[in-house]
Amino acid sequence: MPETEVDLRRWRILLLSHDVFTTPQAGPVVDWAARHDAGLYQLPLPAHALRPRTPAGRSIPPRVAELREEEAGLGAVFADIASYLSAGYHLLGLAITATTTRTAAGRAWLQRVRRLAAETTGQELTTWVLPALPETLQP
Amino acid sequence: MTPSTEANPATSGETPRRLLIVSHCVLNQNAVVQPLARSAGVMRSAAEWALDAGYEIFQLPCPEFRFAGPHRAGASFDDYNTTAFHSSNARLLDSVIRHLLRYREAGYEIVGGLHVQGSPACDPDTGNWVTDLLDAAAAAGIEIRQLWQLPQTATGEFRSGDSQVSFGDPATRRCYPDDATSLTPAQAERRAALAATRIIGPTLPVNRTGARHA
Repeated sequence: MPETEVDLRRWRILLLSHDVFTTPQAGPVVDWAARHDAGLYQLPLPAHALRPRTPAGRSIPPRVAELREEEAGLGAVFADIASYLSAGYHLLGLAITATTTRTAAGRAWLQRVRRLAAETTGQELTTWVLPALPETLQP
Repeated sequence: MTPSTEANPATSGETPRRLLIVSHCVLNQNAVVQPLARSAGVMRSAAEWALDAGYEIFQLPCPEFRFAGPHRAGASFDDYNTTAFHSSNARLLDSVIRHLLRYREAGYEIVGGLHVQGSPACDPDTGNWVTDLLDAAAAAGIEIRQLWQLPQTATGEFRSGDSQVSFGDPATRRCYPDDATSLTPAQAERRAALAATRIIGPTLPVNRTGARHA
């Protein structure tokens, strides 16, 4: 791969809920990241998302094993983030869609994410509900 | 837990939703070995191409970062063609494939993958990770028919319509670089079988990597 003469990274990472890239918010988030020199890191699919449906159209809640798998996936992401932080990177926060907080399952997922972030990185995860993202950022 | 009453996103609309599998560093150049980053963070042109095409994005984990961390040195196909790296890939892919199946079962069409030309792990032609990904997807019944690539250029600019960004059908992958020295007997056998297929098969438009090693 071609080498660049300077390190182009700006050491900034923004986490995204999985569904940001399935909404019209995706374009503005990419634009925001490009303007703010941030890399984007999509969180894995939550256990409550894309569930099979009952004949009545209601989603079937995740099983314990699926919640454990979700926790393992998030744990791996935040292990990555802890590696980034120890290498001097900045975690800007987490951007989520408004849909995330409309359901009890989504709110519970967000709580789990924030807890894992605190446990593995030692920092509180700043969270923005799209389309709100700060125009100015601290480095 | 209260079941969600949210509409199924993949089937509630008029048109089927299409999912593009994207190598991690396309969206997060912080993950690449230095000095190989080609933007401050997101590779904007590639991300915007995917979104403009109507694709929703599934970002893969970075297999090199997970295996060797942020301070790893540049490496070649052979450096990563190890039991340890492939085992790490298998652990990552276990979850990746289950998630892709959930998307598919929810009605998504998985349109293909966007990877990184010249990367030892993510080159669409010979990357170790891409090979493991496609093998795992095939084993799970997930068909991937098209690959794209960030071109191996200084800027990595992804220009829609540029033949350099479309790799083509993954069935035409070589899987292993011609100069690979680390192949196992099974890999050597597979390479020979793939080469034989190419000799007798039809010619397909494929944009191959020039230099193999990052």
